[in-house]
Amino acid sequence: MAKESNFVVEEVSNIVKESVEGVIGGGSYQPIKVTQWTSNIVEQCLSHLTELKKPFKYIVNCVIMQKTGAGLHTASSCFWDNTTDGSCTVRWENKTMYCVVNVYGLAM
Amino acid sequence: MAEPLKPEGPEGEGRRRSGPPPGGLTVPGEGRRRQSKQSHSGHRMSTGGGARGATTNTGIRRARIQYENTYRTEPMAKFRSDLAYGIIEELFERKLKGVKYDPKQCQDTAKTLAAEIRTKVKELKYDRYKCVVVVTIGQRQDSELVLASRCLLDTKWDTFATYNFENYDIFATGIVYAFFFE
Repeated sequence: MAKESNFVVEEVSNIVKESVEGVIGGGSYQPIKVTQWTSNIVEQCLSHLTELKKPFKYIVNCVIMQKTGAGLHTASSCFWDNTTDGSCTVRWENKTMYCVVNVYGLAM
Repeated sequence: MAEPLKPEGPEGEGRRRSGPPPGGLTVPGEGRRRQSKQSHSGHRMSTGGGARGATTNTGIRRARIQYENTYRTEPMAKFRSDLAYGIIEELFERKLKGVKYDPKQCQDTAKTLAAEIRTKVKELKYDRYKCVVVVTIGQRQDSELVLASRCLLDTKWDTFATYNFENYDIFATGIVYAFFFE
């Protein structure tokens, strides 16, 4: 059972980028659709992460914010095992909005 | 005439045993330690402590404790998300009341808040629970924001708590996820 059971940031980051591009790739901010977008991004990320078949529990957080010059800060603090658990943050933006996705992976 | 050295067992409180004790030196992993006393006439033994090098005869020989696996697949107590909610609420109300948005200050505030919430959740002393705390602070300025979160977890034992805070200039969201470590 030589399967890697460490959180691989690169792999997860690629999955997240693909999901975000897929859902909001070319669009501009639309209040009606935003809730659906966040749900879709998060669900797609999660389903691709489960396809990795690793013994991990995941938390996926997604924030979409309209670009109006307002500021936003996110911080996270985690109590876990540094050797096996990890997190990955992907920031994406286009002309009308910002999207920040956090993925936390906890080994079982 | 020296008595033969007897191996220590869980009941080795200086009693004589006719055969080798059952199970050797392992003690079920509920955190109990046993110290066995042995009194020998005319025997000198070193009591571990190889770094010290000296041989001392204190008459007490500490058995090497080896814990068995607990094989416990469920936590003793399920994590209570309402307690976590209370923690976030209290800290937010105390630290963010009347705070005006300032980029540098809010950056530090977010970090310190996350660390403090984590410390307080650890003080709840839930055994074998890992926790993730996410704090988001933003400026209120005519923009819309949607925050979504999904988790892949074991619904029986894993849980989360969320709290939203707002004042005239900033908004803040605090989320605590608690996951059982199998």
